[in-house]
Amino acid sequence: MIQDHIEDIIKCTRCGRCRALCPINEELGWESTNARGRMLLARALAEGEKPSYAMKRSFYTCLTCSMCTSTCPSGAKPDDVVEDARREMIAQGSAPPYYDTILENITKHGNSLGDTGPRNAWVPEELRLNNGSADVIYWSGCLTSYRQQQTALSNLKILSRFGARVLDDERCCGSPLLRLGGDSVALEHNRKEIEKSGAKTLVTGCAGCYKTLSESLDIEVLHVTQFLARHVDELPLERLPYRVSYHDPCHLGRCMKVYDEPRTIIKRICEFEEMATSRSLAKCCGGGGGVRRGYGDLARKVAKKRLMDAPAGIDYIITACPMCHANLQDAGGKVLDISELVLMSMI
Amino acid sequence: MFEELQAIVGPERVTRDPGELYCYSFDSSYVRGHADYVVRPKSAEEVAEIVKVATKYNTPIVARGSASGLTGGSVPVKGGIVLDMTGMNRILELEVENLQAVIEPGIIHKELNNELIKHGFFFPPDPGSSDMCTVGGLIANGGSGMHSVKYGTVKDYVLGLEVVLPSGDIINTGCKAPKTSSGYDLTRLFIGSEGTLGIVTKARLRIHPLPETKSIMMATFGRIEDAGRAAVSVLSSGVIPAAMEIMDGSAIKAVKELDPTLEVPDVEAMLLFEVDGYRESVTREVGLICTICEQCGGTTRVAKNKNEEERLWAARRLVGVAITKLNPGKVRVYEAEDIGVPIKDVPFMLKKIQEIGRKHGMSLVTYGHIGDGNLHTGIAINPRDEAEWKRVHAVKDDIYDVVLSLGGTLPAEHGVGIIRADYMARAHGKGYEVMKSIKKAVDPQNIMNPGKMGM
Repeated sequence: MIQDHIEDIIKCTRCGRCRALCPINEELGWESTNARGRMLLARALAEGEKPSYAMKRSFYTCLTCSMCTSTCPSGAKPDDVVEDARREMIAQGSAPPYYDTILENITKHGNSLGDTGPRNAWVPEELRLNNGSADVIYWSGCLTSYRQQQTALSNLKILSRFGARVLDDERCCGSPLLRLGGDSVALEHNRKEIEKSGAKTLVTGCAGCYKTLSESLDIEVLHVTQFLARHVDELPLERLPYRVSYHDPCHLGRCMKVYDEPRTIIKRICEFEEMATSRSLAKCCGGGGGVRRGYGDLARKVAKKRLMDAPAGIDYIITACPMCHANLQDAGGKVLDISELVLMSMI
Repeated sequence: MFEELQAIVGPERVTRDPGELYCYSFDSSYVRGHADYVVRPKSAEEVAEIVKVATKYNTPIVARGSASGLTGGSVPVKGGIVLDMTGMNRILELEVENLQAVIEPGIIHKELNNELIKHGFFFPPDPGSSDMCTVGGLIANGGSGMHSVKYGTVKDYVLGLEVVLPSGDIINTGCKAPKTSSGYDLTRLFIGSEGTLGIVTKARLRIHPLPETKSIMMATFGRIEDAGRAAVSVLSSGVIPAAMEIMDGSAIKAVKELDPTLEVPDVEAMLLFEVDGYRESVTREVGLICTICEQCGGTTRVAKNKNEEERLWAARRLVGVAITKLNPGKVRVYEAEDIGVPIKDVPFMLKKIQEIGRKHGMSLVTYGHIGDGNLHTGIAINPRDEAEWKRVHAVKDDIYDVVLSLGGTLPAEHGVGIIRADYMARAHGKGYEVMKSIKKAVDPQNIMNPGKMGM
């Protein structure tokens, strides 16, 4: 309940530091569309205010990028508050229509996108689990499985060197629903599947899945960059003649503090230059928190600004999250997933 | 009125959505109002038209930048129209050869300096809220920051203003020349007027060349009186540090607790100096400051590199944060926190503040800009506890009594707003009556930010 967050809400001294850092506020400009405004509206909601248009826009345009939380001088956590405010909105029947669509997609089809085809269509026969067991499981996630199969394949090809296989029936990890204030409907199913596989380690290339699964599973969960950085000396990597930069996905960087591993890998392969904002201060790609789903134009505007952070004349922006990949690419960026770069270097 | 406002700025830049109005009814203080409309103008002409509507309907109008103020200055306590000025955020002219820039009021302070730095210049008033505050808000509050000991406050850097009056007329004050002796100084009248006389839509600012280099040093003292003596001696020696900050034992303790890795010594007081200018003079001045502080019983440390500089400043910057972070369930409230006293009285005032805190059973963390006598007093309370608020107000009353008896000021840089309005008559005597006469002459309907400064 949003009332449970009242201490955290009161902790916000409304200093306004977050409003200068919020990429959505930069686009929309209304006081309700920055973290301070969202904290105020969470307070209003807790005080019994009825959701208005501005309140809905406020909560559902939050990217959950955590920039506000990581920089809040008072130690408040606006992104947590927003997720619970969204939970309250759902309870009050004020969820956006795409929330119900995502819920139905996951419940009916096991993926947030509503695709009806088989999730593992992209998996080569020899890399399927087929009711067998494997120490390492590659978790592809909805977006990679259905929209960015090249990335999925790159990840699996690299990880298969370490015996990785794909679950027979992976379903949505729950991230899209959790970020929108819902529950992870397929969690128990996924738990059973993982248990059945006998996996000791689960590796994913999706920043959102990594955050969600790390917080909900008992086995070791790694992002692919962590796994590859651990095994980088075992990979036959050759230098590539590219100059690249790296976009820190919010849910991998700020939320989970994975900053060094992707850089370790990229620097082994090609010339590397940081973006204008990086690591804990990296600006969001604009796609997170359901914004790409609910406010596509806004997501692209934020992505366009993020692309301006890239150094001039680079060959690629490397990222480690399919959402960032898709959003930055849609905004005109030349983007590669880190697994694609690694695979190029291995061939 | 809503339709008329929409006709001026279009439907996209005006709202009466209850959620939005709620957000525009606060600043960083605990003052709360209730906005009726929020409008986001893009030009002085739009502001003028909106003001005419406010005048026609006899409705309050409150200009607002980032609302990072601490006194309720931009809170619409009497309702009405809130003008969100953050969309007017351009640098209109940059005349480096004239050492001037013309800006719109909604520009964020840090963004202005980021741009000026590219040209080898900066705008010296430097509030702690540089990341988020607007220059317009800084002008409205007569703000400053840590470097005012050498560079002065915002009052010293505004050459002229464009202002929309309650009549809707747009006037220009000041001129492009570096100095003038022509008539009443209307520019300074509007600076610090907190939007009670008109709305600033443009400002011509003096800008300053960046210093060649700077050096940061710390001096620690076993007795706070020695720190005070050292500060006065340094200022009397002819050295003008860019910044001279003081932290008392309570502030040092808070910083040590929050970040022990900063290795701040366990002492009763510390002074932090920044000296800037030409390389040769900085070296000489740092040496002189060290000698003076040591003669006063202090121990000195000069930062040897950027990392050390950052660590020394970090101690100072952490104080404000520490007050909330170290008190679970409590938050910092901004009451009695911006006093100004004569420099030589700063150590006395610091002791007095602790004494008053003990008297009322409140823990106060004190620090500030000793170079210009400006102290900040951090108080953390449970804001839902009425008894704690009562004690805060009792502390405030006692502190203000001492400040006024020393010939000081209640707000040295954060303005009056609502929370210090009741003290205006006592602080200014008959001068306050003159202020009220000016207000009445310029704004006879009292629509411009009513309630602020007691107007």
